[in-house]
Amino acid sequence: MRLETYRLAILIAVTLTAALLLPKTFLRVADPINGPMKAIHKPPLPELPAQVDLDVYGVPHITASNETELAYTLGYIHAYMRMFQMDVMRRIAMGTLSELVGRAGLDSDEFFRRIGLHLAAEETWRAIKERYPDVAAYLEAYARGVNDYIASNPPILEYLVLGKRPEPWRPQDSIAIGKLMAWGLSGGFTDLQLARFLAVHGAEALQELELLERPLNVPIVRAPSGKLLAWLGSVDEAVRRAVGPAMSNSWVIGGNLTATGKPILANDPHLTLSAPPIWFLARLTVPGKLDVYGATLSGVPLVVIGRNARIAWGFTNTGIDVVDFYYYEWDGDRYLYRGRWLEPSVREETIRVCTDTCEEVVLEVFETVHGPVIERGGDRYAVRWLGMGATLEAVAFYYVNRARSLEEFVDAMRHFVVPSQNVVYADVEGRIAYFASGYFPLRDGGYLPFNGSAGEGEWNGSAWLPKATMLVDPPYVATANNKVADLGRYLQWRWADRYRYVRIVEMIEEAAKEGPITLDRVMAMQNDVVDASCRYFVPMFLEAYRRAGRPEDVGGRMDALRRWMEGGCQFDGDSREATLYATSLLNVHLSLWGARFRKANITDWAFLPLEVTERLISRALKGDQIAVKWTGDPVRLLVDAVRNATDVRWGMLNRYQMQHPLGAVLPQLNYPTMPAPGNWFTVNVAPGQLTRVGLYVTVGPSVRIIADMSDGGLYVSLPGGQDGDPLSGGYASMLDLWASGRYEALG
Amino acid sequence: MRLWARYGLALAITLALVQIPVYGIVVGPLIGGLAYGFAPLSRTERNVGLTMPMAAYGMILAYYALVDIGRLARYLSLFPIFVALGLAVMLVMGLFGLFIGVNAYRVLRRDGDRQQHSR
Repeated sequence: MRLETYRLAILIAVTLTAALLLPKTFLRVADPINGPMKAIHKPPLPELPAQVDLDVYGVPHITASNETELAYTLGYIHAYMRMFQMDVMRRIAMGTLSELVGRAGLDSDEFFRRIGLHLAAEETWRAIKERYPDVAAYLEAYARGVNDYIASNPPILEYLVLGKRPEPWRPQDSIAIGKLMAWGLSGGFTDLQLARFLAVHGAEALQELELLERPLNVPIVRAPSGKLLAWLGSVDEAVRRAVGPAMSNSWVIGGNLTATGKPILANDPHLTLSAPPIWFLARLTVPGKLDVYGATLSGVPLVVIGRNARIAWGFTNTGIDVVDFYYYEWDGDRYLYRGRWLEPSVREETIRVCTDTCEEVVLEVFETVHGPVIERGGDRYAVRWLGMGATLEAVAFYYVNRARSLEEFVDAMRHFVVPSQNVVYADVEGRIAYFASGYFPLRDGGYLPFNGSAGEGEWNGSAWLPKATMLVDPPYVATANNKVADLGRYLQWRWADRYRYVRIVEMIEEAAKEGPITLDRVMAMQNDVVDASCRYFVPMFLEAYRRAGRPEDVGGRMDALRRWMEGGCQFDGDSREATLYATSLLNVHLSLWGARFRKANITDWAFLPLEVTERLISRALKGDQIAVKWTGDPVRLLVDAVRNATDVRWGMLNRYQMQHPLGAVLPQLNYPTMPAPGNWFTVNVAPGQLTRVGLYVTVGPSVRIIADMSDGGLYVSLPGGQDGDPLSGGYASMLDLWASGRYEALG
Repeated sequence: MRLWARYGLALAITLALVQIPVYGIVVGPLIGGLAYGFAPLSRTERNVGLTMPMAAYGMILAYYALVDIGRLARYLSLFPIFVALGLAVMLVMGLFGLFIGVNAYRVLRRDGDRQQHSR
């Protein structure tokens, strides 16, 4: 061959080699034919077995002739609108996220495989199939709907970016998503964090900071604990023992206080704000049998929060501690248990990690008598969680969706094990109720890791919480993750600060004094941005200012705080005083705890509730020397906090950040950032996480729901859109509605 | 222009038909450019060849606009970088193809001439 031919051959070889060496992701996203651009051509919804009417926000109103068709159709629609989200959720739960996103998912997979959510989901599915064939058939029909959508080989943007395809759906996946939610709401690693805190700062901190007592917190159910614990009769018996108005507050307002004479129920669960939102709204109807509407989870064919023609219900998390950790004396791979050396059982887990090709990571999971062993901070702990094994929350929701009375509702909730929820209830007959749902493992303690070798912390059965917490037909009941009740035993210690609860009760009382409470008034309550904590902290700031001799440099700021408090402590986006207060509060909190948390290796800067700080400073100002040991000079602490605060507009500092699962690498998929009115303690909660550039609000009202029992009405708003497809016009369809505090009528 | 029309269409069709996972965007324009460059080209026609990958991309966009212009608009606003990357890869690979095609044509023509002379 001549030189020119050689040159040509070399050029071809170089071109092809260069092309082959380009990262595949680079080529994939650039490809207009096979890449993400293919997602532009999304086929419309086909004819489905049930009738589907999508409203202006993309909420499906599904009318089917039977439950199988209903579940199938919902499965298809969930997949059509939220396939990637539901796939990510089930993969996190099942420990198979790495198959989808590669090494980025490996830590999560290793953790959940160790914990064994996938095993719990499988076990639960077996139990449902054996004992509840109707529920099993319903879940199977749903899975068929999802799988028929997958089989149509739909062009889904996220999968085209990743170069993957969704795997078939199984009923276990729906159950696993429920398990994942349950785990997330069960308390996590608080015990270990507290143990580290006490190890570094002394065991006496528990008493000195009054962590277990939380004396400032206000319980939802207020009654002598002995009496409550004695309530072990039937539900009907509990109903007869309804506690009077002085002992109850609520999101659910009885008909005697409302304009229509029927109850109004309001609920806004505070969960991660994501793009798309965690909830999917739907109305599911089988004429003559079922008509239920409200919020479903993508991947789960049941209305979790909402109503049917007869009853409405809502949930907030109680945070009741149902997770325990056990440490042991180890000898190699053997552990000591009650004087005997035992071999842990070993479970092998294989995790597939896939980018363009797949590799396998094999994990050996040890299990002791208490549960699977995890490693935290170099130490090994066995984890015991009430949600391990078969639990029947899916069965509970299946029957809740079909319940027609309080008795049927409570009966359905007997299946609900974990996570314990504050349940509010209302029905068209005018009955309202509250109870803490789920079960509580009976053991001594539970707030610190147990010495498993010594046989500490064994569970001696469990108590069904509704028996001890049921309230029926009070004028109203409020819950805000505050203390459930003083039952005379440890339930948990990180109850949410009382400020939201105090404000809700105050608003209901004020509204009732002014006249019958209307739906509009309840909507306004849900969007309220008054921070009740200011009434306790601003007077302390002012007191410190006075004691410090009214230093001139902070005089203006103290005046501003006082005026702002007198004006009602509003956390509007435009308020500068709100920022002054919030950053003063942050300064106090961080001065007190920042270094202490770091020393104990606690990364959650809000590990200790603000009430602990409030109580401590209040005591220190009164000269309590134990409190002063923690606060140092409280006057200086408070004055310096205000001195070092900032006063930009609140909405500039506190901003919503709603991320898509791929939002870290493709920020275009996130919802636009926007000012977040409210703060950690307002009813319209907007708890900013500290970052270098401000406060990022990633948690908030994940759905707002109000049920008016007078007319079948359900009023909803979602922080985002129904359709999880980023190319859909409905991707953020309800975001403005939600941000502006408006609602869509679903019923 | 006659050739442009012929081979431009050939390129676009090749591109649209190439369903090679991941490497379609490399192989399609390469083959298209090669096919175009391999034809006997005048200087003007060769210059026109430079615009072909972009014209092909334009045809693809036109197809998506026809399918759903709203979704296309959202795609363009969300992922202009993907579009720019796609255009760049197609342009580069199309030009490589064109360059290789032109040179291959020359080499083969010279070989053919030599064989004729040697006879």
